[in-house]
Amino acid sequence: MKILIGIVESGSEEYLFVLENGKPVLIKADDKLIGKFANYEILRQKPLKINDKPIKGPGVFKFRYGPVTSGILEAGCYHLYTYGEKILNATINISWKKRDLEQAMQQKSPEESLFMAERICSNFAMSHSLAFSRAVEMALDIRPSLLTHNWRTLFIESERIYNHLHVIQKLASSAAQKVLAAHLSALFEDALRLSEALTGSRYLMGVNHIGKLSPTPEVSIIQKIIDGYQELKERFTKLYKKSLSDNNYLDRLHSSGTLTQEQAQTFGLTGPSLRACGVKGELYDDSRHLIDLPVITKKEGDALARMEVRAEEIVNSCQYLIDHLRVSDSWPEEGDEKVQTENTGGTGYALVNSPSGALGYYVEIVNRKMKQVNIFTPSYPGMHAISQVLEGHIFTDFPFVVDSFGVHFADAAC
Amino acid sequence: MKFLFIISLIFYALGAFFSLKPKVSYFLGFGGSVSAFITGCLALGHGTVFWKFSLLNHIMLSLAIDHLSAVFLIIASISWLALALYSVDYSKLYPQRRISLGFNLSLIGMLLVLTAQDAITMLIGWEIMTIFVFLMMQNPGKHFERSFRFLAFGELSTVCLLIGFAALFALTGSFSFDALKHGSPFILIMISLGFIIKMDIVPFHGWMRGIYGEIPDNTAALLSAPVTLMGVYGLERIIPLVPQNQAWDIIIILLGAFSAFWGGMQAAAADKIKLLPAYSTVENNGMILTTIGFYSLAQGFNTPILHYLSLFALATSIIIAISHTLAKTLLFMSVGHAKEAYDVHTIDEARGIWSGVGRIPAIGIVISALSFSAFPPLIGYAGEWMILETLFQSYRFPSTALAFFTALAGILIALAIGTISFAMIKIIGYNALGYDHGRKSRYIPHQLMHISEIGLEFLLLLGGIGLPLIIIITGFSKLLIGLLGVPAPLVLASGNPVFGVISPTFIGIIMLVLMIIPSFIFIKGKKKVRKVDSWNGGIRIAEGEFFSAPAYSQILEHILRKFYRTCEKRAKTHASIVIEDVLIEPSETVARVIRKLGEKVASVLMNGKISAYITYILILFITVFIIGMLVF
Repeated sequence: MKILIGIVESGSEEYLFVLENGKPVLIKADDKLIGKFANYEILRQKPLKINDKPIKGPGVFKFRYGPVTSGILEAGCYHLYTYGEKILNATINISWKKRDLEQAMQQKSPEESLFMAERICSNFAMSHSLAFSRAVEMALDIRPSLLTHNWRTLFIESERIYNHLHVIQKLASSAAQKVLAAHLSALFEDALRLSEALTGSRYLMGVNHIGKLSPTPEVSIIQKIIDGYQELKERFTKLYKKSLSDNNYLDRLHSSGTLTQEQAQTFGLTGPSLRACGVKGELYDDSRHLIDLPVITKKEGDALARMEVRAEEIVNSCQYLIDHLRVSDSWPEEGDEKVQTENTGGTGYALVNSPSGALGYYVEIVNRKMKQVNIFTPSYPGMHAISQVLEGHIFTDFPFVVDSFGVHFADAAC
Repeated sequence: MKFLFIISLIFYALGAFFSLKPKVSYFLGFGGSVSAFITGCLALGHGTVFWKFSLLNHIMLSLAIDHLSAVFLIIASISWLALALYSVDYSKLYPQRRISLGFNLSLIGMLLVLTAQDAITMLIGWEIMTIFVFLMMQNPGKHFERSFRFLAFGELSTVCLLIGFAALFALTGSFSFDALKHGSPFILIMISLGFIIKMDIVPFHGWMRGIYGEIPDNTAALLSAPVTLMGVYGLERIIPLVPQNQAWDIIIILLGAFSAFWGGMQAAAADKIKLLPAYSTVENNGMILTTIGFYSLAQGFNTPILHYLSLFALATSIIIAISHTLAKTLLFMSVGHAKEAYDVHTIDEARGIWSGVGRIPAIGIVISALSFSAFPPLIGYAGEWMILETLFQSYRFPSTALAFFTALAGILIALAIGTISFAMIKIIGYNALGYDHGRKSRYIPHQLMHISEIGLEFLLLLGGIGLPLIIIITGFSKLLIGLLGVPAPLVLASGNPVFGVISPTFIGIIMLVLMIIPSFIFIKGKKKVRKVDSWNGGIRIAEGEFFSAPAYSQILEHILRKFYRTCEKRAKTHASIVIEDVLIEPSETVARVIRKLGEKVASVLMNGKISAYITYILILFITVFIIGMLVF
């Protein structure tokens, strides 16, 4: 399986950043290869007004939702063309969050750029941090220790848990499942506290560095963290099972924002949105050195399927954390690492399985300064998918469609 | 009184004569209407015979005015005089001679209908009215066929009346209305059908969809208010006279209720600014028809309770007729004023009349629309309360079937009231009080327009508060009582024993008192108002981001898509929703068949061959000759 994640222009050459059979690869672009990827043009043009196709007609008007509106937590704007109830077309304007961070990172040191990458989208702070640091490590030929590698994997799962909880909480809240939403909010807070216990930061910021980590948790508190994840897992499983017996809730999600496998691949979707369409094998296998996480997939491709994938991943991730934290004290502190390097430049790229899909970085470093940075986030193709699947839905379906993708304007625009 | 009546006729005739000078013509029409109004007022006390003429041995033609004629003459003449005054200014926009000529002559026709005491005089008045209203609708080269559809329905009405009255003559040897008491069910059905068609009851409304938006507004108002009122008058005139037929009563109750429901529903989805009031006419006349049917049904039972109820139903029909005629005239005048000032046709285009055109037409729309939405203490509120009270006393009928059908009509009427309120909120919200989007209106001379609009606005307001007075004048003082400290005759009771009571006068007083204190505080504490642009999501709302009028109705069109046959038409960058009035389809089919038939006949007879033409003339001559021989 090949998924086009992004396009890199280096010098006069164009390269395709592709996720191929679980590995990120950089391939020189040619017409034959380009033709294989339906999302090439989207990634090439990278419009900030996504699906900008105004509809006209008697009674048709543009309902603008955003950029500063309760219900949308970030500065972003949905332009919904409608006769009043049915969404005829959805244009998404992500430009309000465009900060030109790729340019801003240029001529900065890797450490300074890492600081910026971490703050692109706080919900995916660890994913950005990790993808960036891995790309830099590849460029400078830095090999982090196994210990660092293992802990990073655990941090990503920690980020996945609280993100998925957040998405499901929003879906429950939109469906007026106030009790469920309140319980999920409590679990979300617990997940943030566990992240803090694990790293010292609720949003996992400032933990990851180029080639290394800040000090990992004391052995004495690890059992407490394990107990915390165990409790979170049990409470969530109970809630989730109960929620699946509530037809009011399920009816709202069922058939909302349905994507077929072909559509998902056309947009270049990855993560839960792709797995909810029944596609397996897109995961970057960076955790294979530990144990394989079971890959959750669903066939329906709707908001319910996306929610189910996320819910089951929460349980899996909790179990993953519990299992590996238990043996974390046995991980060797020394190994085949290479933290210091004489290299001052190079090219690197990396991918991370962020909570919402493949998040990638391409970097070029010269004299320990960033010459070029390209950021490829899962939210950008996610926004394209949302704008397409919203068509034909009525307004009440809007939050279920949008929230089920778990995307962010900050992540999409950078 | 006779003198005043003749003065009216003379004024109208002079109005027609001076039709080349529209202003003079309409002023004369106004004078005639004032005279007609005074005639009606004087005739309330005692009726009089104006004229009697023996046509043949057995045929007496007569013109007279009794209490019923007087009541309807007053209602109609208020509408006429308001329209005449309005048309003086309006004639600047539509100076065509045919309109002023048609206006005055159609009023003569209506005057004859209201004072006729026999079938022939009524038919003469009926035809004059129909033909000259048709003349007003003419516009060479434009909507030619559509106006003929109106004429086709008008003539269908005449044909029904003709057959009914011919049957009456065949049965009784008289054309006098007094002979109706010896009438048969066939006569009842044919004559009432003739009047029902004129009231635009579903499915006889098929002509209106295409034409209302195209004709001048004074014509539309005349067509929708006083002309349909003639149908109401006709029914009220003949139904009490012809022997009652329970099955027909049930049919017209249900037909009226369904018409009300259908009219309300179509009004709610209307996007043309004049189509909405037109469909509201279908709704209102449906309600009137239901109450007339209910009156007749209840009248057939000789019990005091049902006798009271029949009286209440009859009063209801008259109150709704008053409310409809006045409010509809005002609505068409105000909407027409704004439509012409903006030079637009759709509800969406004619937004912001308050700031864009003027306060008075905006208030006109608000008051008339509120009256149609049963807003207290306006007269429409009284009318709609009365019809619901009437129908929800269906349990008083001894038969379960009758109770069921009348209750069913009650449900349809309740739905109609809901949907028509939905429609009226649209016209108030978008047109009268909505944002004008910076649109500029053109200047129209409006002094007399304003006077007629203000006059009707006051009448609608006072009509509700002064309901007891109207009830007394129309001859239903038995329905008024005093209750719970509210002195007689300020309370209207819907049943005996009491079922429900209402006192719009008392409500009006309370509302007035409650308004005084807040108004005083508001005026006293009035601060400087700073106006800013509307913002949404942190950005100024752009044109094209405002909630459109069709969007307001879309949810209804979606929910009731089986009724509307809602269909979405979608292209790449264009989308629209198309709805249909499926009950127009039968008349459309007939129109298509007639057109094809006409083309066939034309190709056979009018093909340029002299032999075919002579054959045609011969056949026609022989047919007429045979009919003449048979008749005489």
